[in-house]
Amino acid sequence: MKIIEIENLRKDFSTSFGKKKLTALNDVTLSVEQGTIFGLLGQNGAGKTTLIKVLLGIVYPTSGSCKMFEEDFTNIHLKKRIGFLPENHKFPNYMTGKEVLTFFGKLSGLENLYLAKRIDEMLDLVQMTKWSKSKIKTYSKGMMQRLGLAQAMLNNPDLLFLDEPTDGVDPIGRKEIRNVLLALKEGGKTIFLNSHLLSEVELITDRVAVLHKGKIIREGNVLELTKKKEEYKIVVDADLDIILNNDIKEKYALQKVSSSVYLFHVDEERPVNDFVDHLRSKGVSIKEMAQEKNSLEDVFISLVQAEEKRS
Amino acid sequence: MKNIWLMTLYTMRESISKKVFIAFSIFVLLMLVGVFFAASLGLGETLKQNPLGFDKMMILFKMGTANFVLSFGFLLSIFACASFIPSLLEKGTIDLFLSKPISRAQLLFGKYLGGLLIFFVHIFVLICGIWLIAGIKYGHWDLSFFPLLLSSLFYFAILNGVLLLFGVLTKSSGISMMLAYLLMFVSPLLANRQQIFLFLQGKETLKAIVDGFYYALPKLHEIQNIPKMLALHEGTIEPQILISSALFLMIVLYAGFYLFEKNDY
Repeated sequence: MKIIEIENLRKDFSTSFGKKKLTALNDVTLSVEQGTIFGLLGQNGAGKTTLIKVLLGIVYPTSGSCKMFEEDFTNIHLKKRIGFLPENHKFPNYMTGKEVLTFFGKLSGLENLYLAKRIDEMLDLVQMTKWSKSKIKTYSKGMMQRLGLAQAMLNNPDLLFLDEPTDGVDPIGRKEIRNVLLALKEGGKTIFLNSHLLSEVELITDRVAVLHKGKIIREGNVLELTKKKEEYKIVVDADLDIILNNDIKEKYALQKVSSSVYLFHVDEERPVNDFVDHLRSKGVSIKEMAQEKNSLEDVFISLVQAEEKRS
Repeated sequence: MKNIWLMTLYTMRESISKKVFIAFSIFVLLMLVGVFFAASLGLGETLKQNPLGFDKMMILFKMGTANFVLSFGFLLSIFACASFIPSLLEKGTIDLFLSKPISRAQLLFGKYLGGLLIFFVHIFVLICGIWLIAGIKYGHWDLSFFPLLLSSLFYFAILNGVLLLFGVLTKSSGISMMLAYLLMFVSPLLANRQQIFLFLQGKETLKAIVDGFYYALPKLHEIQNIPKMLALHEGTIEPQILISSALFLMIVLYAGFYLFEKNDY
């Protein structure tokens, strides 16, 4: 089931008393499946936050259509099934952490008994129980982020929008947040993630889309995007420089990485199986073989640079 | 309804966190203590000896005291309430609120009511306090004092409406506050525009402009005088005072809600 369906979404902002138009989103079409973690990547000002704000009714679209839970996104009751952690969120600094959760929980329509139970669970989950009675003004950035996450998950949402959720959180805290998100995904929840930390996005997302100047320039499965389709790494117990003849070495563009590690290239005319068969026929024992991967960061940078050159 | 009440309570809590409302509360309590002491020190005897008569003097005393405190109360309340809307519209705050299952109209109305409620609590304590002291000390239980509660609330509802509109429009508590103060100070001048006309002999256009402002803007000065006129049976109350002021309030609120509904945040 598609939890989010966006078609040809456009958002123009007027500036200078309506004289200039700034296109924040340009013909955006994407969908997010239930029970997945979707990552939206982009530089600052690419339109990531605007896209989330449109879906939440904070910003109105200029044109296009959006559906969430197969219903029109403007239906206010859908928000009972949604959690949101905005970037640089501000809670009333005169309240305690627990009071903030109580207030926003009530605003989400939660009943008192369930809310009290849920608040304790969430505070425990984000490890904020100890500070739940302290005023917000005494919180660090990381604590604010943890509380924000607790607030977003309070209503046990089916769809969670997180805008830079690990911003200001230390590495251990980031790992804990990642684990929480993966557990939510296991429970069938859908997570829409905006983040600059591509290494983290790569660790937890199923699909990503790259937004550049308001346009989706690439969308796909994280594994598909990051794998180097034509390059394999192989670990063997022999010196292939000696065993293989020059024709084979040239055909597969064999490169020696270390004494037993090699890289080779394949394509339709040079299938991977043929190379393996050849090695086996020569009595080479293969210890390990894997397709080489790019990091998501490499993919992102090359996509953005290519788009910059094109425009 | 539940959401509006939640926002109202939230706004009250926000106002309590601001020192200015605590100052208003202390001021009201100090004034009540002052009235109590004045009553204990034989104020009643002085009033009884006045040729205007005890009843009239009591009404004037109660109205005068309440209006004196209220004039500060309006200033302090504007100062405190001016930040309610701009603080809601801050980045990082408005996103949180609008992501919840609450409509924009409920959100704004709750904020507006919160300001009114906190003001009402103060004037209720003030007016009931003065009324009780006068009743207990002198047996003066005249109910004609109570319309002041309604007129003051209407007065502040208009000012709070101005704060709402300009808060949404400019996101600046400073600008909203200045405009509310301006309205408050211009009102007595416009109410006494006949005096201004003496300086505008032969300048009919300017007179028409002043008249235009008088009819377009709310009649705050006159509204505040209504309870006194009713209590003392002085003069007649022109319906246009209430109608034009109510119309102004409706227009201001409608414009504020409309803009809030249409804006991107």
